Amino acid sequence: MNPHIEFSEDQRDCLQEVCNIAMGQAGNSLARLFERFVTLSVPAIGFVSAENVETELQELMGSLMVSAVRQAFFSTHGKEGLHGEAIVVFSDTNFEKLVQLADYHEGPSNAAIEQELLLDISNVLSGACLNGIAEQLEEQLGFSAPSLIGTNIPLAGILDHEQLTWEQAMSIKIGYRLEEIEFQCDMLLLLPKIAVEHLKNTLDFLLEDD
Amino acid sequence: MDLITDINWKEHVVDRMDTGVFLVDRTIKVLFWNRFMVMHTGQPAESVEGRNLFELFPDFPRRWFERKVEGVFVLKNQAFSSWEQRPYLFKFAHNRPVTGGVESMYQDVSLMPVLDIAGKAIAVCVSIRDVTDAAIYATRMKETMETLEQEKNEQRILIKKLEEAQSQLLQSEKMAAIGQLAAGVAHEINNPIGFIKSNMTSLQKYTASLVQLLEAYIKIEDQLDQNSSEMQTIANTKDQIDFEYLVEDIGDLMTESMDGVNRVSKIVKDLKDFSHVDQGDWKYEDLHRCIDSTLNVAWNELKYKAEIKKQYGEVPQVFCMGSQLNQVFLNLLVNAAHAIENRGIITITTAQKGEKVLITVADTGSGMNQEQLRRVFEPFFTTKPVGKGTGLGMSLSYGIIDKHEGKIEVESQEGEGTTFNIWLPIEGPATRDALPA
Ligand SMILES: Nc1ncnc2c1ncn2[C@@H]1O[C@H](COP(=O)(O)OP(=O)(O)OP(=O)(O)O)[C@@H](O)[C@H]1O
Ligand SMILES: [Mg+2]
Repeated sequence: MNPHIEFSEDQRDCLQEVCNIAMGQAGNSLARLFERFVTLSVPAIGFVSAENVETELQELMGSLMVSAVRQAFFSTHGKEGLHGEAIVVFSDTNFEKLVQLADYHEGPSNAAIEQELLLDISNVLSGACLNGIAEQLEEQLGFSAPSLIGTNIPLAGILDHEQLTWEQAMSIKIGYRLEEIEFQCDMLLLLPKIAVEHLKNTLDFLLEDD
Repeated sequence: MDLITDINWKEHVVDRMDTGVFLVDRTIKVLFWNRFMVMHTGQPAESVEGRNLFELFPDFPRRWFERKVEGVFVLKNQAFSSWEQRPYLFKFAHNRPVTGGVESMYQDVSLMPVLDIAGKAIAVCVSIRDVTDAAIYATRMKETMETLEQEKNEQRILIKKLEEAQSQLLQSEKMAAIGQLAAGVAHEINNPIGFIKSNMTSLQKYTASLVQLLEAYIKIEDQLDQNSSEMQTIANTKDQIDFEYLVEDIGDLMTESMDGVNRVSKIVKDLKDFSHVDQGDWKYEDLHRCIDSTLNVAWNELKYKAEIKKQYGEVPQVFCMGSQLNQVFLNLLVNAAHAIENRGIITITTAQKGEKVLITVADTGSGMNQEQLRRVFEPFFTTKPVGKGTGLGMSLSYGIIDKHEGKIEVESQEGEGTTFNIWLPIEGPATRDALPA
């Protein structure tokens, strides 16, 4: 299917299983943060090429105007380990309600409170999900502080393909939706090729174990 | 290996890091307080450790911090806070006591779970990084970007203004070109019309004299032989040329032609004035006197049409060419009178406005539509019947005011009336030193 990175059926199934478990953990964390039930979508594993990243993102996300947060993650195994970037994309979100719900009433300004909330949610989601994956792969991860790509910007603007240093990356998309209030976000885990190679080896290792 | 185990990590490493590090338990009781924290809060570790953080620092964002810590305990996940959203956690003096420029230290904060051997979170380690320099840089950068954006917008507006100015320039170039053309034509016509006029005057006299002579002859016709062939010829010729009518018509024709010639020479004079607005004397004039003398000149045209209301303000003498301004006032007054169908009011107002004098001539006449309003200063634009208007009055006035480096504006409402505003600099044109004396 893909000239650069390929997964065997077994590898794919195994990764899907790993993601399902991790995603559940992340959903659980979010639910605890907001004390609300969280609906999850089945993680979609795919690939994006730097060249078409904008259209592929669009297909993946659908929505046009979004807010987005990025965060890097790295492994104690260094370049050989699980590393990449997590991008959490928020769309159709009623921030006012969310801020109320999260009880974020101390901050220098409304905009700052909203931004802080986005950063926190992203951090919780990517932290829980990636730690869940790493745990199953028997690795330990570190995280950079999350940073805001932008609020209410066109989706095409979150990744500038001219600045991307990779040609192809694996993407794991997980959708989270909060019941009762309008809140929806998608987490996109982007892994560079070298991390994917490593991931394949680890998956093979796990498969042998079974 | 011994070296490593011998190191007192707490006192010699964590304590001395140039990062704020402190530990709290789930109730926000302080468990550890490193030197960075001591130095910046002025609170020694002994007096902080074991006590609740909020007791020590009442200004601390309490609920926010409690939630953050609770999150770390529950989720066992690192949490962050950035200077961009929350400039500081503790209000510390910045690291620029000398160079200054900021209010307090900008901080990036992270909260890490401290786990026991069983993997249970027992404390939260908070680290505070001083990012003042980066924050200042980023803030300046953002401000610069905003300034640039603003300047770009201003430039856009400026470009639009320039375009407008250019089209105005084109308009005035057009007027100047027409003016030159008019001057050329006027010059060409001026000489022939001059001798035509003087010849016509002579001709008028000559024909009158000839008719006089003829009438003298006619008086002696009775004394001639009525049956002579000469007398017959005279009678035939008289019949043929319709002598009675001819004599009568010759005078009318001469008068009409004289009228026509006079009209042509008036047009030529206007044309010449239009293209030679720089003649005249520059001196300080009392504008009220100018207006009053113009009113006298125009009185015949005005008296049946309008009531003149004078609202003269306190106005100093203005450095100008009085005779030229008279022409402007005359044009305005005559136009106003023409615009009034039955009877109306013409209001003349004067006032000093800073360095300028404002003269307003308002009428209750027919007003102008958009098209007329746009073209009112255009040479040869007229809505008046042939013979009544040449369409030069306003363009001439425009040229005169322009020479004075003043401004003439028009407002008009169809069916309600028209107002002309004239602004004149009291001290005359800025280039007045270069004016012909
Ligand atoms: N006060 C006014 N009210 C209404 N229309 C006016 C007024 N002043 C000028 N206009 C319009 O502007 C036209 C141009 O005026 P302008 O004085 O240049 O020429 P004119 O009066 O037609 O001829 P002349 O050369 O004899 O003055 C007029 O024909 C008239 O249509
Ligand atoms: Mg006129």
